[in-house]
Amino acid sequence: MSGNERDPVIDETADQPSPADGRLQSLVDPFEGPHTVGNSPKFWAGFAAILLLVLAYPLFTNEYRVLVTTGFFIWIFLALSLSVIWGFTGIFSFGQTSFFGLGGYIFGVVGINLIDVTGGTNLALLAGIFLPAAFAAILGYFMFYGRVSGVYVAIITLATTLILELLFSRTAGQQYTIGEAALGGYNGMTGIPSITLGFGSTAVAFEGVSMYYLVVVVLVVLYLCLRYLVNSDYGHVMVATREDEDRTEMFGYDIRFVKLQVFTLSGAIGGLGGVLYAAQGNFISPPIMGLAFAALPVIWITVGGRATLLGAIIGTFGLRYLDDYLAGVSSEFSTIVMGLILLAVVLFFPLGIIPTVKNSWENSFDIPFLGGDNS
Amino acid sequence: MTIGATVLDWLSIVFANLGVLILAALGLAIIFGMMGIINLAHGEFIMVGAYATAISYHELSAPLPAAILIGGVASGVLGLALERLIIRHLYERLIDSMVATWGISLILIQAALLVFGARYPGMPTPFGPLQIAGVSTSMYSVVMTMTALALLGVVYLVFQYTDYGLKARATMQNDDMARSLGVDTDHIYMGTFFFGSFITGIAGGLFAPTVSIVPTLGTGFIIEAFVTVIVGGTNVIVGTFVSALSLSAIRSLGAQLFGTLVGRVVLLVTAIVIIRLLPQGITTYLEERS
Amino acid sequence: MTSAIHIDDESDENIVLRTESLTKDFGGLRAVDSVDYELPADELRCLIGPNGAGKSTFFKLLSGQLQPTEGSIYFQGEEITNLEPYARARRGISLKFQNISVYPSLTVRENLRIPVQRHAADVDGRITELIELAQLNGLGDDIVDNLSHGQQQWLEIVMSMAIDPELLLLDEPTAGMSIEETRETGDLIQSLAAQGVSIVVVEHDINFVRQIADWVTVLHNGRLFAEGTVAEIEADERVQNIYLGKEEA
Repeated sequence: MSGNERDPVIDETADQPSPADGRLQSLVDPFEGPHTVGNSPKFWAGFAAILLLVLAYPLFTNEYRVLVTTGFFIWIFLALSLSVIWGFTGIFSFGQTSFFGLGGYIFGVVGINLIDVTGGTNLALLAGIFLPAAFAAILGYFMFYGRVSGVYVAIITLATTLILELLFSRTAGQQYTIGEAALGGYNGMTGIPSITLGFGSTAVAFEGVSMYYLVVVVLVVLYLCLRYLVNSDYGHVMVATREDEDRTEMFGYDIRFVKLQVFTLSGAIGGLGGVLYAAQGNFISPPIMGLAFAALPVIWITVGGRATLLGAIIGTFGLRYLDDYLAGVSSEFSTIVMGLILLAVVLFFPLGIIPTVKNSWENSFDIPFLGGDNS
Repeated sequence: MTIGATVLDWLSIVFANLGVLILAALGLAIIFGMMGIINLAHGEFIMVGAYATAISYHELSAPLPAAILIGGVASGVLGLALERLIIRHLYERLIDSMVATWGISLILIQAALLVFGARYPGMPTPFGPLQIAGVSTSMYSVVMTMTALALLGVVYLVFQYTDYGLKARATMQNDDMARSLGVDTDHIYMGTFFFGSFITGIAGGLFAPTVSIVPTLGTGFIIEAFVTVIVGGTNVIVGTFVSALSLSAIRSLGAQLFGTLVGRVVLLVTAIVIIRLLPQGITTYLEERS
Repeated sequence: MTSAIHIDDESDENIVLRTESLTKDFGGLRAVDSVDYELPADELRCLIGPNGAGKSTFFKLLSGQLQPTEGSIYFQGEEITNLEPYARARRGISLKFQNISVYPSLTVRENLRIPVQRHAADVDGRITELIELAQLNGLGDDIVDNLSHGQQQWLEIVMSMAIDPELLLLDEPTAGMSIEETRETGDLIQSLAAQGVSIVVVEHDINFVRQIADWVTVLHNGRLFAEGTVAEIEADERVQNIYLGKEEA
């Protein structure tokens, strides 16, 4: 261990990029880092290309496919809400659907009541994001400041989403109407307006293709914001909390507060997803907060790759697309195939598909996957 | 109704629910306590036990106790097969075991649907009603709870007095140590998974006369089983019992006052409160007090 | 014992750490038994004792990972018994854990970043400094899991220093090291002490203790058994006996 060679790491005079490249790179810098896949011009070029394809998609397909694809994108919000807390901060929550469902129901109640008053769903949108976030803050405080962790967080969050499912199922009947909005019990709430931004006669409603574009834009913005977050100093703290809570706390970080903050953020993201879901289908019902749906984001992320945003996105989209495709081919066997895929991934791709692809690519070809890191 | 009668009524419901919870949770507790994995296909093991029981009853004209035993064996064998093929790769990988067993669950439900259709003929509930101290209940639910308690006793005896039980407890405490003392931990895990699945199959068989025989019959039990196991902690016998008793008592109170659905909500809320107060589960709390 | 917060009188100004009747029970087992410990500022002391003496438990009580059953802890005159671990770290207590607790799947740089980013204005500069201090030049981008045991220990010691502590608690910093590495670790610790940090080291290696310690405290069965200079302790027959299992506390 002795020896004192200065390592030639700090030698930035070599390969000096041109001023234009430098500016572009510094623009992209905060979005790159060790916690996300894809840190190179090649990645961003590919990202832009795929984005163009996504934006062009409605031009060469039918309205039904646009609706279905919008649905896939909306589920990604649920996946990202779990990825942020589980993949990056190590909090395993089995109840992100609580925020998703609450977001949808709150949007519905506020939207139905105010759409004729203001002409828009602006307040409903905000309520559907902030109220689930507030709920997450309360639940998070209850858990993390009580030093609950691990599988017990999973059980508490699962119980929470199931309690909400049960409570909302019990809301059939006239007495469960808030203003003009009937909660509808087990059959759910209908007549939820689409996202309508603006006021009065100048308000713009997003439906069909325009809803598709709205969802894509919001998703891209969210993805970039999360990339920025996980690659920042705060992102390092998130990862450190995931890797070793006790150690991180002994460096002076109040990890209870860190977990609370991240959990609240996940509540907001989940709520936003729920708003979009309710607005797209103009409908929401209690099963969305039940066991089957609660398990879905866990599955999508496990398949896609837990510790990366891209893994969450691709895992969700891929599995939803596959499920949709198989159901069209043969609804009887689609569930069986899904089950087999889960087994295969857990047994053979334990890190998830994206990280495994990345690692085998880098091991076989000895070049970085989707570009290297620039640290 | 007088207060006394209401309390007796509540006690009879608690007694009945206690049996259901213990039966639903015991097999899961054995597997979770031993191997630290969470079997999300647990409901389907109950389903397999129930189906095997119903099928033996109808096709083989087996008397109920024999049919239930067959249900146990069927689940046990299924568990054994899955353990050898899949589960043994996932020990100490809690989340992965959840995802994999969820996949197994999807496959089993779908397979049952494909092979037996949407519904299989049910079984009549034996024995009829029972009147005790002015409270009416069903004799069969009393029998179920007595069987549940007997099963707890059986599990205790197996763990305390058999060769397998000794090795199993050693492996649960410290599998590296057990291995270095010559215990074939591989076999112990296999045997434990069989044992836990067998108990779960028995539970399914016992439930069979009380439910419709549909592929999703297990899904109604899984949440309560889970919650009971995790609240109970790693002690299979005492933890499960205390947890089942507390949850059953509170749930029955809720159900009696406000209906079944509220009863379930109350059970979940109680579980949350207990976990918050005893963050390591009931077992650790009791251990630290002793 | 009172648990009200109070500042002690002037004689404690140069006592950086003090415990009063500190006790920890685990069920029926008393791991730490009524320990009254005092550490004057700027000293480098060792804490020794046979296995199971309660040394690591004592450290965990100091860091806040465990709550005492009885007793109180004072840091720089202020009572910290009820403070959470992060609050103690912010006041200047730093602990190097007994089992290596660096972040194995992160790189050296990323590891150092965690403590440094809270404390240094020039994060990258400080990280480079610390890499050099830990003698890990050129390994900044290596995954820590790939480093040798000794390198990981040094990294963790250096990370513990990165939060600019007043009090550094090192739990078995030379575990698993060669003789040469142990001696170098001793040099490192002494250079840290020279920077004005009070240090307590839990150790088994008597040569190491001889190399670095101003003063030695002996724990046995959770009780404070003996204290003195290295020479005094080495000469103490009772201390030898507890290691040989001949004496009870």
